[in-house]
Amino acid sequence: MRQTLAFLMAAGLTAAAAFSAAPARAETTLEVVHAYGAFRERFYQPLADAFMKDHPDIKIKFRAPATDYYEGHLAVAREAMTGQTPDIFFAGMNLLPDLASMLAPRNQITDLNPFLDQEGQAWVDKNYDINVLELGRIDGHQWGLPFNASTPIAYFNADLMKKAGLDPQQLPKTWDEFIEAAKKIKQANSDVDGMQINLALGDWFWQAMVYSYGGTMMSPDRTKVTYGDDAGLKAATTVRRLVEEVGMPWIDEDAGMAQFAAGKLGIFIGSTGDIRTMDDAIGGKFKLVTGTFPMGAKDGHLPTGGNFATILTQDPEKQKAAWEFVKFLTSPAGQKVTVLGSGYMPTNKQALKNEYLGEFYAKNPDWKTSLTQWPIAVAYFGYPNVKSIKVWKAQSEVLFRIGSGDVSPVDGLKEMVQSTEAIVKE
Amino acid sequence: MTSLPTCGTCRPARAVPDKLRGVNAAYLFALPAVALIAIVVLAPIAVVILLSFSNYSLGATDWSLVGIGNYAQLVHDRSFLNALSNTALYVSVVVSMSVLLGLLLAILVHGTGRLRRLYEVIFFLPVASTLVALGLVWKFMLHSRIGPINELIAALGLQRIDFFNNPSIAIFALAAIGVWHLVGFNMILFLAGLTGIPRDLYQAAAIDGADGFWDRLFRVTWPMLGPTTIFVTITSTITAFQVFDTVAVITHGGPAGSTDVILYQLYQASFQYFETGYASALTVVFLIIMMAISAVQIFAARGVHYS
Repeated sequence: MRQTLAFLMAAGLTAAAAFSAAPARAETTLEVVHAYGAFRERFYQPLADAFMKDHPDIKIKFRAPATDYYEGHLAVAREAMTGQTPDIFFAGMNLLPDLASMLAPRNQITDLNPFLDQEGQAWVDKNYDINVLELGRIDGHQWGLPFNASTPIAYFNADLMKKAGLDPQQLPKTWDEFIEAAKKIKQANSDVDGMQINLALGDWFWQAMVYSYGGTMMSPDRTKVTYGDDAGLKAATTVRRLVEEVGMPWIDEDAGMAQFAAGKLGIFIGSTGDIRTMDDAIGGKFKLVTGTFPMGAKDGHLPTGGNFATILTQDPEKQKAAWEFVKFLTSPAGQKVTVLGSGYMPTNKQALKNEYLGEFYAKNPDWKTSLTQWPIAVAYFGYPNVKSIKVWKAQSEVLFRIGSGDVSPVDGLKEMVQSTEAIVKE
Repeated sequence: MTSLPTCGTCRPARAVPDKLRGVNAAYLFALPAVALIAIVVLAPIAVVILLSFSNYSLGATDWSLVGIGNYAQLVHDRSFLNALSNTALYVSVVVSMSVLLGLLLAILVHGTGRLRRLYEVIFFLPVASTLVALGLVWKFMLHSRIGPINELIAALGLQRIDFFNNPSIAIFALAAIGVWHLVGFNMILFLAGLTGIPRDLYQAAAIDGADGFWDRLFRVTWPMLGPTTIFVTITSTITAFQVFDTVAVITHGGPAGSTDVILYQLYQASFQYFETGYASALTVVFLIIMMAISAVQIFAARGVHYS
């Protein structure tokens, strides 16, 4: 009896010791930075909560979100000098080359290849499309794993279309058809605008216009500016037509979304990642239909928006934990939360299975529009040496003047190309 | 003979510590304040001035002095001249409107009895608020299609106004927000000035026959508010020159660069393009403008009599 008691006490003590030892095991805290604060509640935080539940020894701590990808990139650039970069950073699609060329020589970014190798080729093949992985690969290094992917799509107000005698089942496909439809919508409704594409803030949509006409911004080796060609001219002419013929308001994406959600805009061109926000903002006031981005040429392409998950920490323990988190984010379960919270396209092959998103997509075809554009999606172009913002500032001023008719599309385009060349050469 | 030189060296030797002790104590007491000013104000300014003569870009490992290269570039930079003239336009509108409206409001509020405190709070609210957050509110208030203000304009049967999308209007729309944000502060300053005007001046004026509203305003109130007006004008000018929040939140310098202002350009050059040398030159120019305004205040205040 006494022996049993002693044994029980010993067992209890050991258990207590083991129990108290558990929290003493190093808890890894990962600092994470992402852009667009509105997405924190929609998927970043829910994903982190789900992950921390499964990994009690890893803590995910979000730093203040960046307003957009450029701000995030610049913040990391500043932090790199003082060694205060976050452990995990979500880099804008067009900024990864610059991020890698800035951080790799300083040993402040982690190549994900060893982690992928550890998981095994079979696992990689099962989860990631080779083309998707390729987006984050530069010179053989896998610097980033695509987390969010998007293409620009068109949002239609079906009610306004019907009022204008247009069939929401027969959506316009080309720029000409879009302009015709937008004109009709505006004529049929006195206090609405026909169509809006954001050319006021950020160059993603301007690039999309050039790509849709089969053009490119620069040569593949990023030495020669190429959008001064026929495709660029067609895109510039379309900008003028949108303002002249459709009376397009020159506003940014937020303002356009607000106007569309208020039922005062027929067609809104935006990212597929905004479907959830748009659905919530419309709240059933009218019927929303989505369609593909207007095309100008048969060989037209579209720039892929979104971001890569990158691991910046150099601490092996943290790297291991960060990889677990990134793996979870890009897993089918993680992608399901992400897609449903935004409208982004899943970057994991398995996510399209019925038990994850397959059924949902079947029931909500409007969410699937962007997926149909995957075959023509190419990388979102980033100008060399993080000159993208400066290039865009000059471009946007000229585009505005092209739109308002102060300068002809031909001369305006020349001016844009010249300024881009000058800035890239600096 | 030997005692004289020793005495000679010994007397000044005693005098020097005396003198030193007196000087030391004074400097010692001032030292913390002087050191603080040197570290947090003067040293950064000196660094900025030095950088403005270099081609340093943030994070670069090698850089060199380029003389007045950055300043020469400034003079020929179209976008800087554009920003300068935009800022000047903004300042002139904001200062004139916010000073006049502030004075008007102060006189009106001063005349009300019981409701004075309420009015003060109402007009002061914009001053106490965060301009970044309210900039977002204004962005949608003045939205060209769905903004309440344009709804009102349309309801009155007038043409809608593209507040932030029309290059010839956008800077005035921003100026209107600036006035709205500043006028309450100016009103409070004028109210303080009004309280300081002795009642008997009005009585004396009334005896001389000047007892109408306008007579009192132009013969007593306005002249007596001279020093306050100078002060309000100067502080308003300095505040207006620092316009940044609304530009960064609402227009981003657009459309077509019509709302590009000095501070926004400075921000872009240093934090977006990492052109630290050029941004430093911009900062120095900005600093000189600020100092010139402050100097005007010092000299102008001498010419205006107090009661």
